[in-house]
Amino acid sequence: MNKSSTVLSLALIAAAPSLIAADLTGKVTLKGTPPAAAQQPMKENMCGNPEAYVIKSRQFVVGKDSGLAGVFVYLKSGTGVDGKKFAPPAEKPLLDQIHCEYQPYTFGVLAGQGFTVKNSDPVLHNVNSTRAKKNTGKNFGMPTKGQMNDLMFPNPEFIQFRCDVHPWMLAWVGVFENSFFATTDADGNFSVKNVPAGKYQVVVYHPKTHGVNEGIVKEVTVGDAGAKESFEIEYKAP
Amino acid sequence: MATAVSTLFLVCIGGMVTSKGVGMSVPDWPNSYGYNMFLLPWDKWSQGGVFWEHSHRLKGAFVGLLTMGLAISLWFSRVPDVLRKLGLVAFFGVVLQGILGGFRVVFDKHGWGAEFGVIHAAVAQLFFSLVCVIALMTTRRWQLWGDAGSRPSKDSSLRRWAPVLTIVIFMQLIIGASMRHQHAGLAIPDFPLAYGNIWPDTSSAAVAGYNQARVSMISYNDITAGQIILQMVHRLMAYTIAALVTVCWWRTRKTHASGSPLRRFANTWLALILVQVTLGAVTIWTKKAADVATAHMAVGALSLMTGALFSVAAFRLLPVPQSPRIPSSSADVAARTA
Repeated sequence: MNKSSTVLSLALIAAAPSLIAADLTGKVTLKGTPPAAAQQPMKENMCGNPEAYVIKSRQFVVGKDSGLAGVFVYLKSGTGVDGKKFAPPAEKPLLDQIHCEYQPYTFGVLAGQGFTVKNSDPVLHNVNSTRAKKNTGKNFGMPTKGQMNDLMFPNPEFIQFRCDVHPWMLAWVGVFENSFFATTDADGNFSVKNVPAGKYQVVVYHPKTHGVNEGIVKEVTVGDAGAKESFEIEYKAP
Repeated sequence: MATAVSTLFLVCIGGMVTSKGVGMSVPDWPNSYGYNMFLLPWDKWSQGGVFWEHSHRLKGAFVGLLTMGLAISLWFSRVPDVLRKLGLVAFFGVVLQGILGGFRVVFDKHGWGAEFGVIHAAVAQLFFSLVCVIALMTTRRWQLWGDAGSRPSKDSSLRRWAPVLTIVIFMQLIIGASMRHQHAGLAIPDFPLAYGNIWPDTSSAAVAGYNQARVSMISYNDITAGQIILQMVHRLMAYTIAALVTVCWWRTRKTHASGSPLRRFANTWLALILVQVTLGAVTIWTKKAADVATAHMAVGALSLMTGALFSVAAFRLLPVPQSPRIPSSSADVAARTA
């Protein structure tokens, strides 16, 4: 064994605990029956859709086995995140405006990571970030089909996007401090990728339920093989 | 009169902008989507929220021109100084109002949109009442009221109470504007009860539950306990104003002949307040339908304006209340005792 390979081996042994990373997976369910989705009927040829259609509110989208869609899951603190800085990736997620709806409804980015907003409709939209407290809000028009604008928020928080031209258009962007976050799929399943083994505080945040509150916080231990956790959000009828 | 009617129309369009929650649909100011405001192509503002917001801006500019014409014509007319001054106040008022509307847009991204929105709404109400007062003071009837011979010698307490009541109505309108500019929809969805109670539960758990249940197409902001209390204050003040205007109407009825100017103002005022209370209830029952909510705001403006006209008419028509005479000499006392 030469000198350089000895140094490499020692470095790998030293870094071993942080190189062991696995996925934190699980499911977020809703307990209780939420109100029926509100509906916005759309005539044919509105917003570039040749057919008449109905847009439904997406505050509560419940899938298989009461799984709740569009919920943010992220690591607040713990072994692999405390005191560490995360460089924003070059990859830019897409927030599309299509047939007068934002797609997706919820998605996350790392603080400082760019994302692209696109107008796929032949009508004017304005992209208005609301509820931003730690970042400067954005509001700009996108009059042209196919137009794309890049955005970036440097500080972690949840930001609501709306279009004031079509006030039913709504999306949520979670801006996170570290790269360990996910949103639940149609059946409430989530997967936070490549979490270093250790103990973490995991937060589950549903915009409609938690509003200005933090959300559900749970202590979770992620082992070498990862971890699986379930979270339950309760709908409390007034 | 043209300025007054145009202003009411402008206030209604502004009300629709807020009721529909589309105040930010044109994100820049003084330009509109980068265009000179007057040159924005029709296809850019013929749809959705842009139509209401841009119409409001154009109508605002039109009212600004009318007000400038009004101020200039008053300045060069043979009218009392007070009218000239009111014309100037109206002119500077409409300029201020335009700037406030712009600030409501420009500062929204810094979190000050709602605050400027409330001030913009309050100044709109004052401006509308002001141009109506000017319109009244430029009528021939106003000149006739000034004849000493036509002054009725009646109870003059209305000179005190009408302005006080008008100020209370203005405070109520500010509360209403604060509620509307939270962009949180209805803080209390039922009436006459409030979340099924006489006084609603405003604990944090209850408010969280209310917010969770508010599923709608519009992205309303979450409500807070403070907003719920604000709506309860708005309701209580509505009952109080309705009672006080009724008393004012009754007093006018007792002291003034049928067909007299103050009787007419009092009748109109009471009718407007009753319509306004009804519209307030209907606003809730229709889940804050934009047209009903705007009608509620517009009748509020008319109620304030009627109060203002009633007040200036009372000052014009009724004698100054006299203080009880204090005996100043022994001869005076002797005369009274005799």
